[in-house]
Amino acid sequence: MSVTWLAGLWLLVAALSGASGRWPRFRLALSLGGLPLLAVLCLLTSQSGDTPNPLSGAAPVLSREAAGLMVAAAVALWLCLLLSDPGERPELPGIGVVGGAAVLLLGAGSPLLFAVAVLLAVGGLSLRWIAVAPGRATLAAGRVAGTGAAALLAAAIFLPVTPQEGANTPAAGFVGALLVTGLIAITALVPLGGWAAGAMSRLEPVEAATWLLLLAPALLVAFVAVPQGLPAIGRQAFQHTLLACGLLSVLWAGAQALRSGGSRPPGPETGPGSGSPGWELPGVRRYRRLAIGDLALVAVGVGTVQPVAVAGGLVLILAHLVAAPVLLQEPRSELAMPRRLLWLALSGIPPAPSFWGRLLVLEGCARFSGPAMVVCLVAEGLMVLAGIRALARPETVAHAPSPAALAQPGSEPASPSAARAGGARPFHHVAVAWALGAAAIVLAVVPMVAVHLVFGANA
Amino acid sequence: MSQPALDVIAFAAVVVVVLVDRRWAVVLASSAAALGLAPDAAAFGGGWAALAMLGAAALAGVGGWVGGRAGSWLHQRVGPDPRHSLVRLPEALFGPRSVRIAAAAVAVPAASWVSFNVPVGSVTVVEGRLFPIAVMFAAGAVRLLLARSVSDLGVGVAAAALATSAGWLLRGGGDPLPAAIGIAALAPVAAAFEGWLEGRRQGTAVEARG
Repeated sequence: MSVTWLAGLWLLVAALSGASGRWPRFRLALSLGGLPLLAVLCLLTSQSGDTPNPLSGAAPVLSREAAGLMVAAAVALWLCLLLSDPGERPELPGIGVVGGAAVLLLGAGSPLLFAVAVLLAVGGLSLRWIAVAPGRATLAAGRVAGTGAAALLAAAIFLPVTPQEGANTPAAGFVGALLVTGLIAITALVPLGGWAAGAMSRLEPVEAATWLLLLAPALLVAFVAVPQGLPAIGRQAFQHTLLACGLLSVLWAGAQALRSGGSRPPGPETGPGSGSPGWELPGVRRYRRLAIGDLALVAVGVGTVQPVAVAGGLVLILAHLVAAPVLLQEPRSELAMPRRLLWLALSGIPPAPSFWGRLLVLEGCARFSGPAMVVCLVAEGLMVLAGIRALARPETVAHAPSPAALAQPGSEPASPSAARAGGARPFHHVAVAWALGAAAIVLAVVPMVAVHLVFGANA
Repeated sequence: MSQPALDVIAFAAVVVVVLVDRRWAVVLASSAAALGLAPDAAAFGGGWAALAMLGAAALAGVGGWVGGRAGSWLHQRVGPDPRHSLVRLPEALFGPRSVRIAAAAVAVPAASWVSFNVPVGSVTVVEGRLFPIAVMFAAGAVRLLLARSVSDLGVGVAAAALATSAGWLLRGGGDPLPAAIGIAALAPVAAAFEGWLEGRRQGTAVEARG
């Protein structure tokens, strides 16, 4: 199967899911069966070799590394769906559109196809977010990330800039600037990064995970090979800007994660039935900040162009693919233990997988330059402190509303999860959470084996 | 056609793209951008390229109408209003159009710099032939960055896509026309999507009244 057909299948699943509103059983079956099937097809479509450089002009090919990322992201999103509350499952159209676009952008060898795929992904994601939670925060996703996609579209006109003809012209620097602007805007790095944290705080976990686990990692993996295809001036513009913005983002995210602690007391003002959704609880907020910080660290790894830092980035992506399905959900007492286990995996304390990932990125920074290493060390220190603080304090748990509160007029639940407030988690939720905890332990013990298993031997 | 004439035609289209909002904004902006860039497309890619641009302008109108009809016929639930502003700002001396005009005024010298300094394909840089494309792209980026509604996002995407399409023709290379047509097709798609969202709301409103 070709990359185009595979992307078409993702889009077909999205279209079928969107059109099946009147047949909830069909939609449920599609939600539960569609993503695993697409994951298997991604694996079958993959070919050996490195992820193609989107600037090279080659034919579309899904590398083993890209296919591994798509499989892992599809499984993580499927687990997110399983762990979310049963309902109409309206999230699949958004996941399908972004997944199809991610397949195209990971497999693209042409700058134009790459840019169009990014535009499709950003358009699908932002329109879905605006439809679910209309407001300034979700509109910002379309504004900022859309402008980033437009910057990539503009860069496609000027590519390829060969080292011979472009080394002494402003074209190389201009193209590098356009490419890095696109990457910074879509992966929500400082100074264009506020939209991600703002929008995710208003979205259901699965909707937020579509960007966090699928689009942003896919774009970062696709950009790994980009600097090598640029002339010296463009490469420097790209690398230095990405490194500076990435390190600032990690510092900012670490500080914000430290701030967004459990200062809010547990009680009826948060959680189901309270008028405030459960994913606004402090633990979930802190996780989102840490995840954004770790994505920024992956971007730092891409900016250093050191293989060791890129490998560290892959470990971090894998750690979040394992942890996010549980930690993005509202904290519940039944899931307290596996949640703590997953927090441990992200704390940065040895031998947590996040420790290995951050160590490898730090090593890449050390090879790149001394000042970058120092800033990276401080930023990672903040992230570790935030992780330790999350472990040290018990998480605020969503409480069931009292019958009196529910009986009051105007006490309509704020979210689908609130509709079944107070009910115990089904057994499969607990089983999935423990399975992910076990996966985090395996990732901690043998991180590089896990990376090679998921992303292939070339990773 | 001389380069100053091409620049003036594109600039007139840019004024429409920057200012247009309310109903059929994406259709109007797409048509204006396609018509404004059609002479450039003819200069770079020949008659078929100009025809592709004119086709994009026509298809934007048709797509908007078909999308609206389909939306009112197939509506399942009320979706977002494409024209509804999602950003609530206090009353101010300068409204959203003024802000867009100011941003576009800054974009004009930036586009001029790009056209005289950044080479594209085999075209020599001193001619400034990239100006119509660069200024249209900048107008699209301004609409995206200052968007207040889904409709604004659609206008931005359509303008940027049409500018990229013309830029792809200017870039040259082996048979650029199919890819340029593919990119230009994003404008009618955006118009159809806006029409569909609009139609969904109208269909639901008619049903509620009935």
